[in-house]
Amino acid sequence: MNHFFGIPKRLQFSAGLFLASFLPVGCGADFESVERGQHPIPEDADQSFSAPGQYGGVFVLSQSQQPAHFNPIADGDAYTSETLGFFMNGLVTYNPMTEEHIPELAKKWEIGEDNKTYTFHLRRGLRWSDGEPLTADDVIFTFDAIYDERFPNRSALQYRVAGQPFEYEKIDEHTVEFRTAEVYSPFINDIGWAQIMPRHILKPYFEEGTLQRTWTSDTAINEPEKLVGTGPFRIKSYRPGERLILEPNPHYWRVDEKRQRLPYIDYLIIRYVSDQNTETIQFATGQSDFSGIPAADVAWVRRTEEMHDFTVLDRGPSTGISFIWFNLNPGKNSRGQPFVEPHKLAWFEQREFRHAILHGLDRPGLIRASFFGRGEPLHSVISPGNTRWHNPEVPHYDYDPERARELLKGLGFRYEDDGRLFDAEGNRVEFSLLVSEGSAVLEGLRNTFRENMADLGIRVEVRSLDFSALRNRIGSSFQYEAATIGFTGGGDPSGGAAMYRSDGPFHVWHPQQPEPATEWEARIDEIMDLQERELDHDRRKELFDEMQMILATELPLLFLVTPTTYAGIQNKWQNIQVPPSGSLIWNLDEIWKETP
Amino acid sequence: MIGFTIRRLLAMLVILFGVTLMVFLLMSLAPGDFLDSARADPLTPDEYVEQMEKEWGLDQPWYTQYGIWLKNVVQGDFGQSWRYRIGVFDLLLQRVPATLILSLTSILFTWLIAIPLGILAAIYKDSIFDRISSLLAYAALSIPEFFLALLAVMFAAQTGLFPTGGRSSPDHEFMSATAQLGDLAYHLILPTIVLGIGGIAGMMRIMRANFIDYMRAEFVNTARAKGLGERVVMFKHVLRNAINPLITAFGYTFASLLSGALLVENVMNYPGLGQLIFQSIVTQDQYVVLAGLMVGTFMLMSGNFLADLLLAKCDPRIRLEDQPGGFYSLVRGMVFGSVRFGKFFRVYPGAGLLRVTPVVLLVIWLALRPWQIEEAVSAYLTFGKYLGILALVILVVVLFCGIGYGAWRFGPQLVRRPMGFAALLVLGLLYMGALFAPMLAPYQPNEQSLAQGFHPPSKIFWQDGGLRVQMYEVADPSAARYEAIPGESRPLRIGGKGSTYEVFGLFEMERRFFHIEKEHEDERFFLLGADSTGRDIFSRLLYGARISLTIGLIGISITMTLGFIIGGVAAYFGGNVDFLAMRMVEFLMAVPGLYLLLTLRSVFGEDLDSRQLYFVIVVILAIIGWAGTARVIRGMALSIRNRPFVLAAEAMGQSSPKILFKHLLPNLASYLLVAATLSIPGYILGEAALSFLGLGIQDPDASWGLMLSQAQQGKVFMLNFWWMFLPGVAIFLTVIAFNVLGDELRDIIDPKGRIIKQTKT
Repeated sequence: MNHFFGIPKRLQFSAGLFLASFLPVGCGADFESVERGQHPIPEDADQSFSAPGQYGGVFVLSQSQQPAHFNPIADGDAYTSETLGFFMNGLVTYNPMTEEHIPELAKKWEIGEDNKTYTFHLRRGLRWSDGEPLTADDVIFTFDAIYDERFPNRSALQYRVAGQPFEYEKIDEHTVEFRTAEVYSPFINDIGWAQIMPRHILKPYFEEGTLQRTWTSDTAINEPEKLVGTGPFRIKSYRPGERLILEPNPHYWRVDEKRQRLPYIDYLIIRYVSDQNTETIQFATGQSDFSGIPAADVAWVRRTEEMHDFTVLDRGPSTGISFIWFNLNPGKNSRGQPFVEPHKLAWFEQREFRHAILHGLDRPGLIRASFFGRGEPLHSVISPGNTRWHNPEVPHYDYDPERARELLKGLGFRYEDDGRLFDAEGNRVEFSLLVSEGSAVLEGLRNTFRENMADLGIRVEVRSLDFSALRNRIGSSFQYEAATIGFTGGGDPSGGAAMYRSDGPFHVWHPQQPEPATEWEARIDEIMDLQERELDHDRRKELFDEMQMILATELPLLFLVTPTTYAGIQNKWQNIQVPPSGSLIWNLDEIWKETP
Repeated sequence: MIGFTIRRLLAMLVILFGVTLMVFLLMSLAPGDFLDSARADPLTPDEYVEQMEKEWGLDQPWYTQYGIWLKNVVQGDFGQSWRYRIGVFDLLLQRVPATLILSLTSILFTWLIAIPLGILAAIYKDSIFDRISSLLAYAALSIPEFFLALLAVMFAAQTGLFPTGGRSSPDHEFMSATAQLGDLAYHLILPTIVLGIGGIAGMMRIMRANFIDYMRAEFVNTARAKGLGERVVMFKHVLRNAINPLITAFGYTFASLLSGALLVENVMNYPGLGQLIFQSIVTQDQYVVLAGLMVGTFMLMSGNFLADLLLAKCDPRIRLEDQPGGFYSLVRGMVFGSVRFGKFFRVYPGAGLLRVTPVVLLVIWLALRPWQIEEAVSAYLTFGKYLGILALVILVVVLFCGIGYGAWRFGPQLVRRPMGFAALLVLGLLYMGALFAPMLAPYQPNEQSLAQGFHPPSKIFWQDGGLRVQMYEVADPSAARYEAIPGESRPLRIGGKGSTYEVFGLFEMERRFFHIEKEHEDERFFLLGADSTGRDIFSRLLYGARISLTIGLIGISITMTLGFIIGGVAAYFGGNVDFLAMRMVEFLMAVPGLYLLLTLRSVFGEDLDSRQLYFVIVVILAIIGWAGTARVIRGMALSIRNRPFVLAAEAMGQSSPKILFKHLLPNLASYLLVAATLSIPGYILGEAALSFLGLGIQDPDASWGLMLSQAQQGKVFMLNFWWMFLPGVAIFLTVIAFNVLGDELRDIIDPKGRIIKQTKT
């Protein structure tokens, strides 16, 4: 029995087969290079100022979220609009380098003397990616669709001044005129959001009333050629949950100095992964070309910089903001119970109480734990990342538990011997905080806030909810005491009106007030009105500075932290221009790869 | 054979129908739907939401929705996915093959390892090799799949040898056909290993036992006597016979892989059915959940079905027949019953179901009628609180009886076996640790030290006649790197005084087991390192053990009690009761466990605190778990039922409950004990998996699964914070200890392994 060796023939064979089938077959992909120059360049083609490059290369992105559909007029999230941005354009766009609005489909525009009329001149010779010409009719069609009541959409809500929709009119084949009811300074900024839709493709759906139900994922999977746009790319193939492949739009309207049509890259591949973590790992292991890098991951991602030949760039403070706030809504629910217990509402309504809480929160510690020290406390509603609009003069509420306790005592709160805090009526000071799941800063905050408040003698119960449940609590049922959330930011602060104005839906601490509840909220409303009518940039900056000052003094939002943002990009890509904020690959059409 | 196939297929249809009905009901009970996020977004126009509600049928009551859905399914339309906005069928067409291939390669992998190992272990029986391989197999069996998956991702990310996820490379579509195949295979390697490793132990054990059996067979002796070489005897005679039963195991393995695939796919980012279902449950994409569960259930049932067929094919002694009272009789009853209506109720036990159904439906309807469903549920939950207290008391009694009985009956024998003793020792230590957590833990479980995030385990050394703890300082805050400060250390005191805490809620104490003499207020020592906010992992492990370790015991007490009562009652009374109970059992066992777990979890709302969640998890685990136990117990009870002493008791006019508890229970007790021990790991892993996926215990409370979920972050494994993986090790140790203990108990009670089957959840 001991003379046994070797494995049976049949098993040997199958084992061999098994191994053979698993041997990695070297990356044998052959990318057919894309045919270029088969279509004439438009008369009014936009010439890029970047150094001319060479055609070729595949740009791979990893993303943890994917578009819900490919329809500019159906309700979608940020990822949907980001994807749409690859193959659709507006009239105007924003250059993050110069922080100016620049022409996109319109080659120029004029503002009338009354400051309420805007005339856009479309570029001549523009063609949709299927070769059909783009004219003023497409612009008119787009706005007809936006304002059509059959297609409820968010643009229709936003494109109103003094409650009135914009008026628009076709002047000739290449000219469209817009009129606003009042002077509205962010008009040029806002109009760029509207992505111009191809009338010749979508007209039938418009007439049927099914416009919002077309251009779905199914379209992208089965008939990608129907997704007709003007952007640098068009969709080649789509596999939900796996990847989206885009190829250059042969009718794109931008060229370089050598009159080569952009974009340079042959294919843009977006691969979908399960979370941000995987996104980062894939970039760090050289499997994708570009990625935002969370602050806490920078240290280890940088270790493979040389091996995989990429660079991690420090982009300065994030433009996003995050904060905790107390529910200041004095209303009652349908059963007649107040949203917040009256004695608690009384605490929350005191400004010094809010100051004390923020003094009690160890934000530097939070930064150390959540971002490995790569970040700073946030002090204003406009992040320092938004260099153009941030007000550095606002008051700071540094970590100082002693000061916090004094403020609380000054308000009539008192401490028991065991360190627990009670209010003047003898109520134990305690509240619950709603946190949404799955954000790095909030993960750390959950425990930190609880412990820090325990140091102040306040008992906090932290509840985790998924994001839509949280939004439901803070936006419609109002059954909560305190909550925390983060917003992305950047750009012109007039975009934040929904949050700053007392009647705004994102005025989270007490949304959609019929009349401003406090004097300072009334003043902010006034500021928001003034800035809309003000065309002078310096004057608008002053107004927004005042607004930031009010918010930082009254502190309805207890600002948390702003992490430093980092982005990594493979070194082989040329023409990378790093803007102060926004996406690093905003000029994807100009990026090219040096072939050795 | 054909008749059997048809009957099984019919049964499958009925079960599938039941599963969809149940899932639909559960999802409609769950608060909210997939439009919630659109509804909650103030920028989404209300009209749009209304339009969508109408379009997707959400304005209808659930039974109408279900009816419409069912009608569409019959016509081949499985509805649309909200998340992906494509037909569910297309989505499944993309995902199911991925999971199918993964399952197949895993089985192949398992076999390729297990069969040779099993043969070698049989040939070199009782040698060192045999011992070591069985130990390794134990380890493989006990390691939680998601933990292993985590380690695999870490390995892939650190070495760059394997892809860190996905099913294919980004440039897949540009490859030649062979390269595409190779690409797919390359992406399959790690998931295959992770998913397949757990099955090795069971397979190896079967192979070894069979091989040994046949090595002693007479035809082997004959062959040897004829002078055939040892190799020829082994491979021509023994192997061919011994490998037979393995073929039947194929189907069962295939079925059991599905639940495992859910976790592995999620952690390893493999776009298969499991990942799809999980994400759909989370986003309440109900039509995907429905169809996905249908496919999952179908795969599980067809796996079992295949196993039965193969079994019959390989072993002509087995005849494929349903037990009386199976689905077949129900179907037959329904078909013929309508013809001969009067006789129907009397003749076919299956008709009992039809008699009971209207009553059950009426009760449910009456119970839910007065309120909105949500309110009704909350009202019943309040009512359930009192019932819960009663149930808890019963459970504690059951638990102590069980442990006491086991200790009294098998304790001495166990202690004499080295493996058994080791397992008892490990479990004893773990439970003591959990019990005395406040005393043993140097810190509170949520006591943080923000300056010491990811602090490495402190070095402890002997110096000047005492233990001393090394102090550390931050060397690089941006990478959480710490360095020992030369010469800086603090004495470690054992039994010193620390902050006060309560012991069992009775009295306060200050003494702690470990303690360092601080020179500054914020000095800490971390026996097993710290997590991201500087909480002591050791303390959290101890406190987490309270949840992770008790959930198994409480869960198993509930299932055993339920299983015994239902299984015993079914066996004792037979007829309709038996029929009803067994159909429920079959139904529950037909749905992949983890999927069911997640679906049930989604019903219990969003904002439960940890205590409520703990309760909910136990209940869910018990709901899923009792079925298997009940079936086993019914089988055992049936064999005892006709024994003379039971008949004698009946003849003496004893009441049924008395017979059940006085005569059946004591005779089943040993088996119950073994079955319980072997299924405890299932509960521990179930809780860990739920918490790991973020649906279980919530921070700041600690549970091992929750703690392990923090280890999923890239920084943890790229910066080598290895101590974050310790919760996984703790789970592993507990599970392996329970598995060994159960096995030893089984060896004592049932040395030939005839009665109790090895189980793994």
